[in-house]
Amino acid sequence: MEITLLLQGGLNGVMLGLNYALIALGLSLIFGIMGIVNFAHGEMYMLGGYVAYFLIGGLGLDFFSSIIAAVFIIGMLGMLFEKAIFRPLMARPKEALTSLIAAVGLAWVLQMLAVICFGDLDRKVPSTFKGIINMGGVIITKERLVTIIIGIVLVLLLNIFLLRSRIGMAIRAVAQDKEAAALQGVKVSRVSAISFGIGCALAGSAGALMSPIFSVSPFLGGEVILKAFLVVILGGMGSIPGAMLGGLVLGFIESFGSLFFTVPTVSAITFSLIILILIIRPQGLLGHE
Amino acid sequence: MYKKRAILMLLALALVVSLLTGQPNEASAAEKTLVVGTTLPLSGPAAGWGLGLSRMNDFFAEDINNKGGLKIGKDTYKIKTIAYDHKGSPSEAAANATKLVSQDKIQYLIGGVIAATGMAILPVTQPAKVVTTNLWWGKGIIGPNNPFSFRQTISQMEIAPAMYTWIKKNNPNIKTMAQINPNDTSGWDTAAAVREAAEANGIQVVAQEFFERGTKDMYPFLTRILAKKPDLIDVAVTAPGDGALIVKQLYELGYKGAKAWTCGTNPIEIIKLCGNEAAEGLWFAYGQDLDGPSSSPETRALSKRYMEKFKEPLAPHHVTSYAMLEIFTQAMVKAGTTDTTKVASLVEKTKKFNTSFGPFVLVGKKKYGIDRQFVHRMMLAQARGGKPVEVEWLSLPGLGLPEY
Repeated sequence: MEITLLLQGGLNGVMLGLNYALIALGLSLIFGIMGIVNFAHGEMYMLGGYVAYFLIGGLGLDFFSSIIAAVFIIGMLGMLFEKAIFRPLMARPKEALTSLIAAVGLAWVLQMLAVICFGDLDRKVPSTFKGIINMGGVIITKERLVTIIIGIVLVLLLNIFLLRSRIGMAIRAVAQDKEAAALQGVKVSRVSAISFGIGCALAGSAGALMSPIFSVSPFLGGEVILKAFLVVILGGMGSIPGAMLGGLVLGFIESFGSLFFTVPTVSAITFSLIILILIIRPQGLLGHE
Repeated sequence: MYKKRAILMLLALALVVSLLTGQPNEASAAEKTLVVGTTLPLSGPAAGWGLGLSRMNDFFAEDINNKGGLKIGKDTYKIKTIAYDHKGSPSEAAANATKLVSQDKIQYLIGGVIAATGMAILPVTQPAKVVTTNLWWGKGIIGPNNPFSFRQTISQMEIAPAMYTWIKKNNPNIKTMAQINPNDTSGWDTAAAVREAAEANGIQVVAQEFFERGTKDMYPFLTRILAKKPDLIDVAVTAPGDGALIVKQLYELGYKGAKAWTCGTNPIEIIKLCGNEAAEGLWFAYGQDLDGPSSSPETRALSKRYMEKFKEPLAPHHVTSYAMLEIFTQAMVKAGTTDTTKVASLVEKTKKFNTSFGPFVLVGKKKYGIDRQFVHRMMLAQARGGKPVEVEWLSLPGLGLPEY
């Protein structure tokens, strides 16, 4: 096999992995803090895509502004959902089950609202960065390169925020032990709302980032959520570095696997490897017992 | 007093008679309704296929009802349409078909896409003798075991030989090809038909890929396909949203060879999704310009009406549902009944039809063992400068097409 093909496979894997990781990070954050399996997370990704579609395609705004807008709008929307739907449910008995069902319901409602408001068909978001970079046969579009860079910046910003900021430390404290954090004066409800908002904002930013590369449709969320759950389970439920690692592992397996095997075979290999990893480490790659 | 009592008695008698016999015949005829049902992907990645078909049923019903209805035998029928969304899921399609047959009492199910949903619907509609006309492109959809199943448009089994005969004749330098299809019944059957047609024309298939519908990043498997350096890549029966991404990503990866979308059914929408540069040169078998001179005045009127109402372009395959309703309602009028056995038999005997979309011929005895495949004109088009440009009518040998 040619070296250029392997390098192309590696580059494809980085792009795939980053896409998976960005969606899974928010999902993992929400689960880690609140214990909510947010099935509506894919819909946040979809809505982020539509924010970019309307701001770039409709209002003629630039790509970067659309991402900032998606972070803000979807983040606020997430906080609203947390306050209106999930917080009351989390205060009741059997909170895990009821919040899970509410999340599934929310996903359907958002999907149907998108159908009503935006129509059923796929929409193309205009490309801001046109052109191809050819590095001795290894090809990457400028659009993908910018996406990879922004994706890495977003992940770094999230890490700095969680490790260095006051609220980030509070989030980590709540993730470790809710009651102990509350005893230390951390407002758990406020931290939960912010975490939910950040989680949704991450999904929204991923949707906006990827929208010019792929396309947007009301059903985008359903298509990405399965992979996001896979990444979270692989990386370790609630683990932020785990989501990052899980995304990259999945991206590389799929990308390199596709160089040698057909897509259905790669899917079978991917799931077999994940099962194997989970047998050896049931808590996921970086998860805790 | 006696006279008054007699009048009251007569009035009471009239009331009893009217209650016992119901409404007079004329009034009952005016209230008869022919329910035309369908179950299609009205949401999800394949919604682009389903919505247009469902809307064509509505257009036809609107046109007939505005004219006062259909005179079938002694009765006048208004048409009512029902459409249920199956989202491309066979289990939902089967549930919807059961509802249409047992609850809505339909006799005709017009329009259907995605072969896997067809395979789920037929076990419900066939025993109930419900006529289905469909675009289910797969083996086993039409045949002697499914006498009420008619395919309303040319399937991959007919398109692929026509397309590859044209490609080889006009592009003799194409020696190798790769094809990409969804990983389901439609994809597998199309892959077999395309491979057979390509090899019959001396084109070697160097790669054949099946992907999961809804996949967004196709780079991984496209990289492997491109390493085989095919002269032509065919996205065959891929849905518009998925196929447009493949064509776009092939362009990004530097592919400069020939491209075909053998079953690409909505060129305008597809070019918009791919982007003009990526789509340039792409061949479509379903490329008829519905607003151009190659289309009938009726088709042009339907296209204009559709655009005005839905702000989306009408696709050629959508119009086949309108044509099916024309064919079957004309047969009902002629047979004087809506009985599906009699109507299906009359359609089989009639064989040739004139519709708003142009001439249709019912064939298939040789290939499928029963005449249940409708054939119509197919225009090959090519994407040029961001628009589909008509190239020429495809030759469909051995199918008994009328002169055109």
